[in-house]
Amino acid sequence: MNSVTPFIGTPDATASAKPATARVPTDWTTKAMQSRIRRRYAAERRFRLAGLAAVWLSAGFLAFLLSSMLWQGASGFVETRVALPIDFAAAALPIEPARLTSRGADLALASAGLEGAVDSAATRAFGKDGEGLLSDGAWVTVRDALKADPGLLSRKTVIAVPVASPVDMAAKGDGPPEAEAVVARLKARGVLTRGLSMTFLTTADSTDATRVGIWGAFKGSLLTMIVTLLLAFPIGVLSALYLEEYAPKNRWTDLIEVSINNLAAVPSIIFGLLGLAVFLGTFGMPRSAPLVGGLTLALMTMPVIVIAGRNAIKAVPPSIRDAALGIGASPVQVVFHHVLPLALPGILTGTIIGMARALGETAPLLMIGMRAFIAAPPSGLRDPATVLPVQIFLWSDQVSRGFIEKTSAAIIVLLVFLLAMNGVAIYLRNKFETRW
Amino acid sequence: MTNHKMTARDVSVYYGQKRAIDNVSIDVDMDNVTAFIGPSGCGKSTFLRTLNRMNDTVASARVEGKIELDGHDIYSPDMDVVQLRARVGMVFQKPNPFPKSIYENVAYGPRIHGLAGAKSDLDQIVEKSLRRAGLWDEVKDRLTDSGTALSGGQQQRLCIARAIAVDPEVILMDEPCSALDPIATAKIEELIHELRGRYAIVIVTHNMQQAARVSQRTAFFHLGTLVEYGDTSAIFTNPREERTKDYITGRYG
Amino acid sequence: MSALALFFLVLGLGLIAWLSARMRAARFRVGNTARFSSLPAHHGWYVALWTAIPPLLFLVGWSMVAPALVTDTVLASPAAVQLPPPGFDRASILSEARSLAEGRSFGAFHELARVLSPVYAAAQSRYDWIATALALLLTFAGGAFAFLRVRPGFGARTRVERIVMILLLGASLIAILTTVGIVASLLYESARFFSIVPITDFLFGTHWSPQVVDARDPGASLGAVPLFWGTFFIGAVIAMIVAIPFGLMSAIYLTQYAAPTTRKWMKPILEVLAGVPTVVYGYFAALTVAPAVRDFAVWIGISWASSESALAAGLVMGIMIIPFVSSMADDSIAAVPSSMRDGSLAMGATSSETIRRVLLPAALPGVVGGVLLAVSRAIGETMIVVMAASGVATLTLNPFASTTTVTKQIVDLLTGEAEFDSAKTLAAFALGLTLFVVTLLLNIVALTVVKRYREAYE
Repeated sequence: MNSVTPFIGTPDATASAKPATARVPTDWTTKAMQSRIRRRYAAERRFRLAGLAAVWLSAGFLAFLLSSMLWQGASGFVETRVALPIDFAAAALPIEPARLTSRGADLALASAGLEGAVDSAATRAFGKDGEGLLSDGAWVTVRDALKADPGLLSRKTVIAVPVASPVDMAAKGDGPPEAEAVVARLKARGVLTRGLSMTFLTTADSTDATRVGIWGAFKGSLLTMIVTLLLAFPIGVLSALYLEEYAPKNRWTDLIEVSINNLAAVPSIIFGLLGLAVFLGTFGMPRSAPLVGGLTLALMTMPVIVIAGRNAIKAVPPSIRDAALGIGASPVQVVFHHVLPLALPGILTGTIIGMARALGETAPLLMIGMRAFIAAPPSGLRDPATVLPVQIFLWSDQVSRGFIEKTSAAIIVLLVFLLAMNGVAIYLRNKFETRW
Repeated sequence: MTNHKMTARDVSVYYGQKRAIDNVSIDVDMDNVTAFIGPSGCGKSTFLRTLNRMNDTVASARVEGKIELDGHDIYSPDMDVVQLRARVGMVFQKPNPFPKSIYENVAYGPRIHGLAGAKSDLDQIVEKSLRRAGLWDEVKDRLTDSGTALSGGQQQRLCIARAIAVDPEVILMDEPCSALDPIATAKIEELIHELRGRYAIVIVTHNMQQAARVSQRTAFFHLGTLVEYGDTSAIFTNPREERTKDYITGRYG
Repeated sequence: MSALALFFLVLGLGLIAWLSARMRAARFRVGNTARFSSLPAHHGWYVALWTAIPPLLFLVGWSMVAPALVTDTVLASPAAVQLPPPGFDRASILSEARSLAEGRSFGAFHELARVLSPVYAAAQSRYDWIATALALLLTFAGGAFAFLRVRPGFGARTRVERIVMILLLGASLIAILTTVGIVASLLYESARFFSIVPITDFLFGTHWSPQVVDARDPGASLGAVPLFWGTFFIGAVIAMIVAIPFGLMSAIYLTQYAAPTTRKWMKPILEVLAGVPTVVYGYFAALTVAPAVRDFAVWIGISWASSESALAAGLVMGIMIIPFVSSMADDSIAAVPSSMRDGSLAMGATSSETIRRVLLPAALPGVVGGVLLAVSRAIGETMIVVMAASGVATLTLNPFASTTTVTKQIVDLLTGEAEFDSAKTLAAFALGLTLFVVTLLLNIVALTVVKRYREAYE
């Protein structure tokens, strides 16, 4: 320190050791310097613009993706109907009106030749091609109308029934030329109407685009997600608690941590291979079942929940644990009375996000056979089923044009659910987020 | 005195609604080292950062009043902030070398400002700057080592060399020794003596002995206002204001 | 009795055990002022756990072995000798017999299924009764054992807590079990594959056409190099050419330039890109992007361009990866101390100079780690390539040509009507093993790089 002499009492500001003129300052006003600075600012603007463009283009991709799905899919919820005059009295179906209110009504009507009656009514009303105008499911609409009002059996009536897929497409503005002509003719007669397709919301897969529905896939997704949640949530939360609160620092714990972190990054299709080899191969569980799908997805979702759970638990300040321990709570009581309730919103947020991912997952479910054609909604965990994303995949493979709008419509349904789940997660996070 | 390099008149700084600096007027001379002292939170660093518009990086900050460099308002629209900062350099509280080699750290400024045409010019600037910062002899054999591998004091001198390399007119130092040990501090203070006269130097410090050692002019800030500004010797031996006296004698701060 | 009913019965008994043990423990307290180590509820839990856990564990184990036991019994019955040899027919007859036996269907295609169904039903009900009896036995034995131990001085709390700890430990072991399951099943099936096809043929062969596997030399048409190349080309080249500039520049703009409100809104919007299910991207790629890419290729004069080009799949995959790269870059840039940024700005550098010359070089390890993670995600991505890429394996550098990937081939190989043991299906597991090892290595390297980087600035 002795090289530095204190300066108190030596205010000789002018007696500086070096003359102030010794340096030649940079001249910033020269033309070269000015144009250089202009160039630098231009580069700055370009860079900034590139960043802005990247953000907007990325958001633009998203907007384009979503709007093209909406654009193509909205019409999938709508069906075109044609007013079909039908004379039940003349058709004289061999069935008693009383049976229509009994449980066997569907079977009775089918065996009484209702489908043929509907077809001949179509031929009478619209000429010899009339039968081809109607959807294969048209007679089902008639059947339901009959069941609702058995009195129709003795009357003549007009029922709006769904049209066949090419006609439907043409009515929506994108059909084959011959169907366009038919639609023009029907429009002129004023018999075409449009309405929300209940078929789409209430039935399962079919080979006819006008008869497909998402209810089957939705129910499959629901059952699968229940299995996933019931397994992944408790296991995930308990693992997170163990690792964060109790686990001793040793090799086993390291191994568990490494496993979980790696599982979170393993491609989903690998879980499908695991499900195929272990659940189907070794344990002989049924193919295509929500039970197996749920198990497989649970293994995939669990690491996500563990990681989110650990972060939420870590965020609970140690002072709370100390306070509880200080009044004599056991370690288990500390965790279950204090830490877990405080960390729960964070854990739930992570769980919902993990479940949303599982809901949109397709590849592992293809591996365990959930790609079969399933025409009836599953009624149990071991029934063959399909799920929404797989249904989308299956429909996207169909060549028939009518399936395009149905695929997009199913995508809209899936996206609505995912958006809702993510919305709930964000809401939870904002509502319960605590800054300690 | 007509040799004012920078003049500040009635400068107030706001962060959102909060006023951090209230009506400060101050002159910075070419020949003197000016020290800003005061208790922490008094606004001395904030004020320092208005002098090369580093406060622009804080979105909510707003500056009122007039600050001139060579008679030119630095907050006027035609003042280019890039040039301003090249002319008014800054050394920070914590040494912040870039994670590049020592050479690249010093060459960074001349490169972006285009101050060196050829590689040999650049070499020369780097050597000169490192010499001026008193670091040349210590690092001349390892210019390609990372700047972050140096000791804290060396890092800070590297930062000073980095600031010198763009040939500034004013150097602002924001508590440059607060993260350093006494020996490194002594070296930096020595360096400040060496640099005096070549650059107008403003140093913020909360260490009164340091202010007394290195500066010729001292400004005492308290609660965002400038309490007293004058020759260092006068401030330390015979302060006019009661608050200055209290602070210097260690009543608070 | 059905498994579900049994499950609820056991739970109900557990509840009864909880209530009664709690009552019994509470009675000890009446007129006693001594301090107890456990609350009545702890006694309740102790007994309830002893009542419910053993039978539940038993039921879980049972449900795994029972179907096999039932099937074995059926196969051992005299009627089963008429069954065709193992294969699709046999499985379908058996499953039909089972669904008949369980009353889920009423008609059968195969006459044999009708014959076997009573055998099935008998075996099923016999094993069901055995299971029920064993479960109830365990329930009562455990409950009685625990109930008798409820005494004033009994440390029920510590016991319950020990059981809780075992539960916690058990839950976290599931992760290891899963990993072991993955590794074991992939290794086992791959080993079977490599006993048919030499590993060198698989890893270094350049011809892939699993549709026609020559039984004498299966390795000749199962060389996976074109798949590895296709995967790399789509996932690590084309997708990254899209994702890195877009992700990096968005991160830079949002962290360095955007106003806080813009950042607050745009960040979650970009993250939605990562939340869109891959099947939606796949559909988008197949329906919209692939035809557009093909039209573009034809327009620039490549008339033979494939409508299932590598470019279409890669582009869409890149879009999907953008938010991933962006958030990794965001984190890495945010981890660079702000003093570096200030240091550069204070010398008169413009923002872009500061970003390009100081922040990005400083954040580079983090960004590289993030890109490696993104690559690992891209090469494991399945649905986009399944729906938009072709199934034809070609070694090509042309993005308009058709290429296939490992994941696409896994799906194709396993979703045909092939038998489970053929070289074709086993090849899927060998591909899965390769994919698993590669993504694992990528992740380990990436995480190490990122971790080192974080530590450097802490």
